Amino acid sequence: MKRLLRYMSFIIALSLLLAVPALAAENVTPRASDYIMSTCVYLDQTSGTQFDVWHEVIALGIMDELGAYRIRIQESTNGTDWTTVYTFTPEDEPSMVEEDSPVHVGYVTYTGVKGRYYRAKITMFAENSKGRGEVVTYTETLRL
Amino acid sequence: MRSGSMADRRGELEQLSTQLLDQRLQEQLQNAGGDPDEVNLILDILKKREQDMPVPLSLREIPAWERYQARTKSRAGTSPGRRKWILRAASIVLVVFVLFASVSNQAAAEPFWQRIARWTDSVFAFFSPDAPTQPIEKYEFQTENPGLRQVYDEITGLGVTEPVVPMWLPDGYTLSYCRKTIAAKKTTVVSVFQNGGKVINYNVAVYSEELSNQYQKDETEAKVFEHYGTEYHIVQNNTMWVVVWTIRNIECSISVDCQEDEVYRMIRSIYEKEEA
Repeated sequence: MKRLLRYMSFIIALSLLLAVPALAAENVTPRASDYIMSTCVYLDQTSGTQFDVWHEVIALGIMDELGAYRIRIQESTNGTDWTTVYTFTPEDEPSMVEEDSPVHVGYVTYTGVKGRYYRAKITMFAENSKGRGEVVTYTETLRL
Repeated sequence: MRSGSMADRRGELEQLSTQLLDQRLQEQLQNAGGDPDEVNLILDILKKREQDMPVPLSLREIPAWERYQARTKSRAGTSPGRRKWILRAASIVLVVFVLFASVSNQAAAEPFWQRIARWTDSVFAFFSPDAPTQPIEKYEFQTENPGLRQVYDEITGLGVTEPVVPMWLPDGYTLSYCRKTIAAKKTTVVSVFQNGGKVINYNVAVYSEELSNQYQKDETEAKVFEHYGTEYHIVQNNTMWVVVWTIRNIECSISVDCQEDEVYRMIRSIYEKEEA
């Protein structure tokens, strides 16, 4: 009986915690786009302190121009408080952008500091004669 | 990733040491796309090992141990089925909790809000990649659309042998773009079919690591259409229908501006040749 009660209180406690993401979802703005179908971003550690930021955008059809508009490298010492330490732009890295294509895949390389946390905030875009769509997305966190 | 029958998978897992099983359980629980079947199998094996573990002689002589044994015996004698049910329910709730908790933890950091939103507000957060359960006796790709044949050849070139390419598209669409892109953790074939101003995107990604694309969608409820054991998740992105499904480490997607019944016809044509 004691065990049953213990499990019951465990389940009740979990139910309360489950309410958190449900509330979070209610405050969400839908992210429909007339230009972008999907994105995929991630970090790939290539050596002790170096990693590549991979970014892919697939557009709804062939676009005049698409790719990453800004790649902000964010650093943290505790995994919670983030500071942008570097920003890649197409002006410096022309490979971040592609023309006359429905897809863009590319990466930029960054060298960080051992023991620190990194993530990238990426603004992806797709544009044609009718207009432009943008999506801001984050990679997962990587600890060097 | 799921493969083989449950008995095969149990056999594989039973070969692993308890420490490795513990580690694998942790990985499954921390992974948003974790496999509940594997979690249940691991829990069962660990429980069985615990029961089978021989009790050292010295322990048998300790009064506390005898009291513990007497207590567990009396419980086992009264309602074993009930206890099993409770334990199973608790483990399922635990899995669900961990999956949700990983989402809520990230959602707590404001910048992740929208990224998580798409995962919590759409079907993709709880995607469980699954192999088709209904075997296809003889799969032959037959299409009237030469563009689809070209895309099929490109995709089979990636080593994909499962039926993933529709054999039918709405009339008038011709292939205007087909390209393979290679990245660190995935290879993707992207194709575009056009009919005047209308466009169909059809993409197949093969992942080498746990990863997924994030699909743009509006607030319309997602629908799930099951066909030949595969779940096709159908969402709307303004005027476009977006269909996303996975088989093992393969993720496929279609976006199309057409009637809803044509979306289902395209999906059915992945396995079945349309009769003229």
